[in-house]
Amino acid sequence: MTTKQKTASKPNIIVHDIHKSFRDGGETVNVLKGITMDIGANELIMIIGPSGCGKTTLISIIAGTLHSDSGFVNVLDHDLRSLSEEQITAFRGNNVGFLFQKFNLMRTLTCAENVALPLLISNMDHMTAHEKAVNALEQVGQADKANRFPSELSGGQQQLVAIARAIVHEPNIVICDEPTSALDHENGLRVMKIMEKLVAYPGRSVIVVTHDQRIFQFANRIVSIEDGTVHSVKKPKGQI
Amino acid sequence: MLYIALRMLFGDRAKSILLLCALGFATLLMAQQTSVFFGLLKWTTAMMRNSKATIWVVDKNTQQLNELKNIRDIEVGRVRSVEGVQWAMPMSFTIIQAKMPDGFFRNIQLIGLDSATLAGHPTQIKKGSIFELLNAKTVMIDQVAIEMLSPDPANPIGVGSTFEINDKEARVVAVSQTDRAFFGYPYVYTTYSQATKYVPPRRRMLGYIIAEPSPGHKPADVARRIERETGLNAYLEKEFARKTVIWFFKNTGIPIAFGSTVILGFIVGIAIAGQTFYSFILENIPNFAVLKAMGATNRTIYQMMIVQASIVGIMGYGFGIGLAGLFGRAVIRRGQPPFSLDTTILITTFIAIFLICCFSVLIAGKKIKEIEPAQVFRV
Repeated sequence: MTTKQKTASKPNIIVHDIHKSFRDGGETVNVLKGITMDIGANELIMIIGPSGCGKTTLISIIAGTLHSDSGFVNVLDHDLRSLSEEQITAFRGNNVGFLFQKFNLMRTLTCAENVALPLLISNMDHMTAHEKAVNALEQVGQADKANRFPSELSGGQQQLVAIARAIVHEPNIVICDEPTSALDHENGLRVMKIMEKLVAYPGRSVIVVTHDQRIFQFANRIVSIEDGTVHSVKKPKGQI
Repeated sequence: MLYIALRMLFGDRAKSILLLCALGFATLLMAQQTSVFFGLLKWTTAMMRNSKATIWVVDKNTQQLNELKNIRDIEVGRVRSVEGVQWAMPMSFTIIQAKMPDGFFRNIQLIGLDSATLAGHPTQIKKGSIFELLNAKTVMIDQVAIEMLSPDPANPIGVGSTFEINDKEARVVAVSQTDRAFFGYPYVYTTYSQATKYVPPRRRMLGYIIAEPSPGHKPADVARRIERETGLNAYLEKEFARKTVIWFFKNTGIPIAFGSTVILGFIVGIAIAGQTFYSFILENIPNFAVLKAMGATNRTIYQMMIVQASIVGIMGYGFGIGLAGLFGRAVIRRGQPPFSLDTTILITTFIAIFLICCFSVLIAGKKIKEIEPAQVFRV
């Protein structure tokens, strides 16, 4: 069974009792202290909490960019703790899309080239990657910006291009770190409306780390983390 | 991804131009200085290229081509008597002053060729006839002489002109094309017998004996035999050239002067290119972190860096060699400074630039290895 043929019943992401600590000078700081949660397909989860509570560490572990010290992390039927560096890099390349607060688009590449990056990394030929990148830009309403450089676009437009980059390789997991905090209200809503549509893609889960209360309405669940543990789980949109 | 690597590099115009210039000027410094250096060394053996001979026989104490201890005339006969010598001819070499029609004296290098055969004469005769040298009081000058001996550049000397050597008339009957000499003085050819009249009499007048081995005899064997039987030193053309060049290496400051500039070019190349490439990598750390997070392996990113360094290295090298070539064209037209941009210099400079690029990739690569994909959420 391939990752993208997963059954809907099993959660895409299962995190059980994960712990993570860092060395800070001579001191050990316990950032995650036994987090347990799962995220299903077609779910948009928001992770909130004060700065330093462990949100970013949690999504880094789910995304496979960081290893937990202990606990169980299963993403799309892959036990991430058992994968080698090479396997986990390939896993990220195939299954995870990223969206960042500051967009992180390469200023020397055109929008289409930026969007094509995940495909080029997985060795797709340049022409096909470019075509798919333009399609992805079309999905976010930015196809006309394909040959423009990020510096020529507004913040909102750049974030839409970044969304296209996050989904161009059709990942089942999209990780978003403060995607709207650099945008004004209007652009923030615009971005989230597109994100809402993206969640409808079969088998996809979207995780959004945010402080931005304006976008809570788009979440299926809001997980609040405090001091390295899950403090509460809420369901907005009247789903409680 | 290699295309993306190049887009990343050339998208940052200021950095890529700085890198190109750093590598280009490092190449120029190394190639140009080495070419002038080798050109200068080539000048030290110009006489051998002008007067082709397989074996050069000189006094035992002669250390190099341009610094002779003269030998006796009778040595020619002794060399001729050695088995395996097809022919041996005398050749004299004297730096002497010539008095020009305007009354000024100028140094010349007077070469005396065998009076019957003119063996060892330059092969390229531009004007006049070499056989006219068989007449008394005649000389053949080279292109440098026209430039240096002409009292009036608008009215250069040539065939038919006269000047004086040691108060004796010298009539120009031919003009030859020669390789310029290390001392910078023009070559003036005459017969050996005429040369002995121009030069104040000395007990030993003969500078070299040039010889050719008989067919079926190895030149090296004949040279060693000449040495054994005459007590003189006999060198093959390459041996004498090497001995001369080594003498200049050991006894002059030329290698240090040029070598230090070449090393400086290398260091400047390493410093600027390495630093620029490193800062390019530092500025791109957020991008590399994103690439790593999106699934790019260290190997992919190293490949990108290698492509970036290679392309900028090749372009910088081409730019530098192009500039060195332009410099060479300009100076070759003028005749000086000497310039010899040969394949060895091209290859050596390429290796030096390659090493600079490797160094740049190495120091920047260390940084790439340190980038954690998790950094993507912090940058």
